[in-house]
Amino acid sequence: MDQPILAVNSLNSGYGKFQVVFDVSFNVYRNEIFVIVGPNGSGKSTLLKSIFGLTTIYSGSISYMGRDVAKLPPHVKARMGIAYLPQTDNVFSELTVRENLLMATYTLKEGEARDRVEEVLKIYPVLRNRLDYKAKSLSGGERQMLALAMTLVRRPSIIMLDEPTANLAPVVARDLLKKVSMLRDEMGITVLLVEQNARAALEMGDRALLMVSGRVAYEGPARSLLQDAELGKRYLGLR
Amino acid sequence: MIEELLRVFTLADLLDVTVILIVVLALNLMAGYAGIPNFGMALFVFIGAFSLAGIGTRVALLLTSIVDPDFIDRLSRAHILIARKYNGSFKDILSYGVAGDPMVNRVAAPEMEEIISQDLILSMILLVTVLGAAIILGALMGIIASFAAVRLREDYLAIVLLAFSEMMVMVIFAQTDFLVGGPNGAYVVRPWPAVLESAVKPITPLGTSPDLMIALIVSLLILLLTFVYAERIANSPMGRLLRAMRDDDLVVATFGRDVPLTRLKVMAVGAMIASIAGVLYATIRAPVVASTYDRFTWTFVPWAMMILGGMANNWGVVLGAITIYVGQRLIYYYTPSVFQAMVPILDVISRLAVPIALSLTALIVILLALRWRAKTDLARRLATYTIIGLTGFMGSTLVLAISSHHIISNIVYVQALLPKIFLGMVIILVLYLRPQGIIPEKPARTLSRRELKEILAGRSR
Amino acid sequence: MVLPSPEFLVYSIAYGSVLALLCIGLTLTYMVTKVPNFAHATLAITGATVTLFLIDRIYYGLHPVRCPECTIQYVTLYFLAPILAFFVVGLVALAEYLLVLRPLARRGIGIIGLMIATLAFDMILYNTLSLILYIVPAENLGRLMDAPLKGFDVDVTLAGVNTNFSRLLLPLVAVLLAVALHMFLTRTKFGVSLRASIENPDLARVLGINVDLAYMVSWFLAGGLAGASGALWAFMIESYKPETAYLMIVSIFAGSILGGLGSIYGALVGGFLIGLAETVGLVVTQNLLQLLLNMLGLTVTVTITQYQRFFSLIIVIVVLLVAPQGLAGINFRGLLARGGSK
Repeated sequence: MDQPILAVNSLNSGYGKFQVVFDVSFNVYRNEIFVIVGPNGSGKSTLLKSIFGLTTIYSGSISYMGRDVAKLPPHVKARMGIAYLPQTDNVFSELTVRENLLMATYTLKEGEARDRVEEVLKIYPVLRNRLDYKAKSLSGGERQMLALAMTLVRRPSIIMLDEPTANLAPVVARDLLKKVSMLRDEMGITVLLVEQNARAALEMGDRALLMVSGRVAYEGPARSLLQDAELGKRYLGLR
Repeated sequence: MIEELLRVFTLADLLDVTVILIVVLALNLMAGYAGIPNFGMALFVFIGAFSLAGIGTRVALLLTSIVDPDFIDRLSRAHILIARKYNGSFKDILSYGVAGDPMVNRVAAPEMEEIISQDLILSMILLVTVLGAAIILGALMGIIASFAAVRLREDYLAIVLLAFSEMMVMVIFAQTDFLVGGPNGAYVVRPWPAVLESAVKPITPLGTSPDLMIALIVSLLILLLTFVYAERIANSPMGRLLRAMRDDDLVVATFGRDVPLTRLKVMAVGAMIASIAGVLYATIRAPVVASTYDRFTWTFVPWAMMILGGMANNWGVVLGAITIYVGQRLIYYYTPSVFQAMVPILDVISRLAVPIALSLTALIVILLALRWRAKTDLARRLATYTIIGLTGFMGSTLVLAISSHHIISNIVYVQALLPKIFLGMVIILVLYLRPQGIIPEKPARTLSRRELKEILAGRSR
Repeated sequence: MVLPSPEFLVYSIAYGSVLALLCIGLTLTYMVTKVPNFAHATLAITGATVTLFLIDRIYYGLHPVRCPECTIQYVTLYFLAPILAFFVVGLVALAEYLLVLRPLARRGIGIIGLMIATLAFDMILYNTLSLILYIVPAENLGRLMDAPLKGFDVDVTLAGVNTNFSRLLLPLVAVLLAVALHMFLTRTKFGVSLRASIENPDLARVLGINVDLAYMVSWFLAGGLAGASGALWAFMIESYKPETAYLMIVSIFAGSILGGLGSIYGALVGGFLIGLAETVGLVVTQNLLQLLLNMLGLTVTVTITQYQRFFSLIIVIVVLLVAPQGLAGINFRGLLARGGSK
């Protein structure tokens, strides 16, 4: 296999003095959907935050395209092509949709920014009707769409999504996950997806990581994890 | 050496320290233990001063007139302006003049004091009335202040308490002549009987007024009582309740404790203590001018002392208060001489000002470049601190050097203001380096290990 | 006569403009650092000090004797003072943020500690200003402290109203600055990024926005507004003392709280309203009381103007009890909808 686009090695991290992630290692390869599942409190969200640089890293390495990025601040990582979509607070509520998209294209030149926003509005036409509305007046699904749009305008190489379907109605959730698959299929973006809804996520994923109490319990093909009755029952509430 | 120290720290200073210690202990109860961000301490202290200067003087006039019915006539005859203004009307002088009119109270107060102190019963009545007023008004102010704490979040609460204090003291009391002399202030009638004065005479050193000695002794007594009280509260179930309330009042309420009532009690008691301190302070600092009870002296300084010493820790708070007070006094006294000594050096520096400034700028540019290229966090922080330190130090030295002559000729102002500037800087440093204070908060004393073992042993049977 | 004179109204509007700008600044710093900055009034008085210096050095330097015909000099002063004060006080405010609040916040100091820190900075700034004013010799004004500022204001008669130039300039400057700020915050990319950084700094960082820079600029602007308004306010006050600003902080808090501590537009309106309330509102109340007392046959003269700031406190208390979110929290559209549907 070729070089992984993201390689995490023996990562130990947490919040201040409170450690949450213990000695986690895994690889994510280009153009795949890598799914991270696990019970509540297993450190999935923290893992994503640590990769992006929003928590305290005690030890370990994070390589992106071969470069060691563990010490870099979030905005530098963002400029390098790593996109992170948090579970909450992923849009600016007080700003309009237009302003949100403007902020998303902050580091781009004006012409390019306009083009990219047009591109993204084609994928999510709903947002076009809401351009001058404050983000807080959007519905839950619309807000997640805006959040996704904001990550897409930056044409990231890898998108890290933290439980994007939380608080969404099942129909809307399914639609969202479909759109996430599209990211890989049509835009060639690698997806790192943390999901509470293990079945749906593992069904669309290529490879998976099972986290339990901050440690890795499984790394390998998503299908195998889905079919592994024991792990599935014990940790994921499957079957 | 001892004589030098005694010159720096007089007995009046001792009184100051004692009073502010009482105030800080009261503040510690409210803010350190109960967690109420009381930025309005000035009001509670002032209300005590008002009890003495506003209410005390009026009561004194009442008492004097009972004992000496010709008092007002004599006053008017001796001072024509008073007669003309008040026409010898007792009601007018009582309600306005004796506390609100500087002309009247400056002449009336000492005379009344003379008359009252001769009679033990009168003095006692005055004393009780003044203290009673201080306690009642203090409690009232504390209770009103606690109402704000019911609904407000920390930052809003701090603002409201500060605003309330400022408005009452600086606007209502300072601007209304009637209450306590408005902008001019009012003189006080000290409620000490003559017997006390003669009792105190043997231990009064030369040059000190007996009033000071009495106030000092009483203050020290009150301080002792306050400290013992504060310590007992701290180590009692009430103390644990206060700390629990401070840390999470929702939980406390869930356990069935009446949070607003507890806050009310704390504020009322704390305010009463501060108010008594205010009375004692005012007996020496006459006239009582409302605008001198400002938020710097009576709100910020106590907080500074509390933070430096260690919040929720009575010994710490005492230590912090003494440290700051002594520090301020030392700066005040030694500023002129220190500056005089520095003058020759400063002269040299001012002559070399330009080359020094240039090399300093160059050094800072180099440090900034190094900081930019710093690989480790530590190196970057070191560079930042060095830059700030260097700029601050050399910058202020240059400023001092250039303006040294202006400073020398105005050294009085520097003396007065430098301690305050220093205090501000010290507090910021303390918050940065050791926010828990010199002596941090101790965990609550509950049951001893032995008692716990016994209980557990009994249970497991 | 219940209503105040037109001159007083002009004064009132000018004072309201000063407060409006100060409240905008306070709210801005509150939104960035989540701490009410007790030193804000002192920032304003620093701006007034700049005016003082300019009057003493530049103005007197050019014309040892005040000449009423020297309109050019006066006018220069009116524009030079606020512009210079904007930058000077902006830097001071930036220093407060960089040297005091940001390091302490990063240390994890809680909100009460941060408030004490702003009080400490206030004390440092206030006393340093006093020190400078006592020490630096004023060649022409005698002593900068207690300098008589009244009399440097150009008398202007507009539409039959005798007033001063500063009082006419202030509302204009306030409107100008407010509009400029609005344009900056909504039409420029950097301005929008400021709002974004204030609302959600983590997300902003993710998007590549330099949140630290945004915060610094916010503090600089807040200080600048305070400085500019303080510089012009200097013309309105009788004599200069730092104590003049001592109580101002209560009025500023009143205006910001009235407007709602999370809204800049609220601060603008709230500050202005408080300014009006403290001046016109107070005078009208006083006159009404007088009228009432006169009708009841009492011949006592009522003067309550010295209690102007107490008014603000009452308003603060009422606001916090009735509508803690301030004006910004009131759902105007909701109220209108209900009324219009009839």
